[in-house]
Amino acid sequence: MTSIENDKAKPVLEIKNVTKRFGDLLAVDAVSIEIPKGEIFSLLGPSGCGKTTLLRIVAGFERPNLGDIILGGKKVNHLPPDKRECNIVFQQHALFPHMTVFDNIAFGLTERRLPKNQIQKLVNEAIDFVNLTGMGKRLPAQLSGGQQQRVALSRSLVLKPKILLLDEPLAALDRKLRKEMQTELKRIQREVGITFLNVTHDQKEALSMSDKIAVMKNGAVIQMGSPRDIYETPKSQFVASFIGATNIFKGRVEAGENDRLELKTDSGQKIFVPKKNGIAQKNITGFSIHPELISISRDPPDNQKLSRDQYTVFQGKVKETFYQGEFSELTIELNDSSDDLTVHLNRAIHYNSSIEAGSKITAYWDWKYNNVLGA
Amino acid sequence: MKKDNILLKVITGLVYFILWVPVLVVVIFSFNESKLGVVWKKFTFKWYRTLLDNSQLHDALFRSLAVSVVVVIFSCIIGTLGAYGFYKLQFRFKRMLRIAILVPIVLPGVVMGGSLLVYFERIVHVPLGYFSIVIAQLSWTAPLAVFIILGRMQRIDWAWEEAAQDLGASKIRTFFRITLPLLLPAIGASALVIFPWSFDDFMITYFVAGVGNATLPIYIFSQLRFGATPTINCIGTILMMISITLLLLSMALENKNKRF
Repeated sequence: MTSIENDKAKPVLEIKNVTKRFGDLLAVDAVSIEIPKGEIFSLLGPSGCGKTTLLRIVAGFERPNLGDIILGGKKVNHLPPDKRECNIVFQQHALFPHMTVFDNIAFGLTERRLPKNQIQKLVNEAIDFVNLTGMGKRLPAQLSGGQQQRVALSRSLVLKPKILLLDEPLAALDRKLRKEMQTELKRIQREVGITFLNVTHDQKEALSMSDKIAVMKNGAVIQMGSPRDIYETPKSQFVASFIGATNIFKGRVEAGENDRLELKTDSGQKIFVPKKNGIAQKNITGFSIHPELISISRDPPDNQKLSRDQYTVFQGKVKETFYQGEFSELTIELNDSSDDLTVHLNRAIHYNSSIEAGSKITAYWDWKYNNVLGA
Repeated sequence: MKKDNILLKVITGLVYFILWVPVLVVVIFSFNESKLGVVWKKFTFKWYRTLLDNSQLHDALFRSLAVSVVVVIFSCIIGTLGAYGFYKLQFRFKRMLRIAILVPIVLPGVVMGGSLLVYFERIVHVPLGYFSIVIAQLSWTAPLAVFIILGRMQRIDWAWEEAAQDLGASKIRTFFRITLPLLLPAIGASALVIFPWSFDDFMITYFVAGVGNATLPIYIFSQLRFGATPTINCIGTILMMISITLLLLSMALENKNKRF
């Protein structure tokens, strides 16, 4: 009883203070992450941020200069890749081109020297599981990208690893297929109950797939949290701009009440921002606001309606409109600020109103939406 | 435009004519009754029959085959290991070594042959014969294999090796289950290139063969000194057929190579 509880409490993978240098380059900088069983964890960051290196350290292809990799409670620093109970799905799938689908999936099992009939059974189950029934005799070159992806997945899954490492698994697929594979990955994860460590530079993919996200920059994790945390309350300018088309205003806090701070932007406006994110007042460098939270009005602002106590209000002129299908994007040139404001207009609300470039406009939003940023 | 086309066709035809006529002449006159090559008398298999009874020729042929088979096998082994080392390992003087193994390929055969003769006779005191011929040929066929296989390695996705290790294969198992099978087309191609080159190498082999160890090309050359006989034409025709077969085979292999 207690052992089961302990097992649950223990993370499947612990990355403890891992540092990796390539010559002068600090590729991974003192990263510590714990991943509980059954979770989809994503490392998100631009290329060169060290996320793939970290994944390769976990898989055993690189050795950390400092720190420990603890897999299933055991330190595996010294183990080569073939002795670690984790498997990786490579970006370009890396299917063995001279082997059939069946042999690709059977590869790991034959290395474990399982009896032939057992391998046969497990592989056939695995082929059915990823909906490739009847394709066992094909060569990888005869499969579509999505099918190759499934083979790569089931080749790893059939070994029942403690954690499955995914290196930009969807990057090689086109958009429609990517959505399909995302659903498929979530289904597999749910049904097998396996833990995923996913590496990606695509914030949409990370947001929609993950239970938890760590955003990396220059080898270090700069923010970790649920997709909602990361998207709605980014704590730094880097995360805010990386996570989506976000408006960022730089500024300093000048005065503070209980849970309301007054921030003076670099262009001189005074704006109320809520006290949150646990950033000390003196460390606040600005705030961000997501484009879809902004409302617009063509009428001159009614000061009664749009009181500063309730709203952040900007006046400006529409600079450009981009029709996106499900929404329209406006760029607004602000009267009192050197920054442009990006606004996303929901089709349901603004269905009939076409807004032309050059028209004067008032943009406003609840000041509580303002998200303060640290460095 | 049309005029250009005709001119092009004429020149192309001429090139092929010049290239192929001597070859065709050899083939045709291997079936000629007359002992003198220039006059057509009558169709015959007589000269091919004399080949069967020529024991000197048989010795030379078997010696050549024995040399070439061994040379091909060792070239492929050295070539695979060498290319793997060049591709995978980082070591000092790697560039220099790479250029150094190119030297035996680009040096004129006379220079190579002469220096190898001095080397065997004066420095290491290896008696001239079968062993020295094999070593001499390996000195340029092995580097050739290295470069052919290296070319293939540059097109291999090395994530395959990592994938194999990740799935539980040790480094050695990975080499035999993944790397070697993927290199096999290139290894086959280098065998097919090296075999005919080794088989008909005259220059270097002539220097280091010593007395009484004539390979087929050396035997043919020695026969030529007594005047060309139709027998030579027969040998030429047979060798040509073998070469063309090998060429077609290597092209087929190269196509298979491209699939991955």
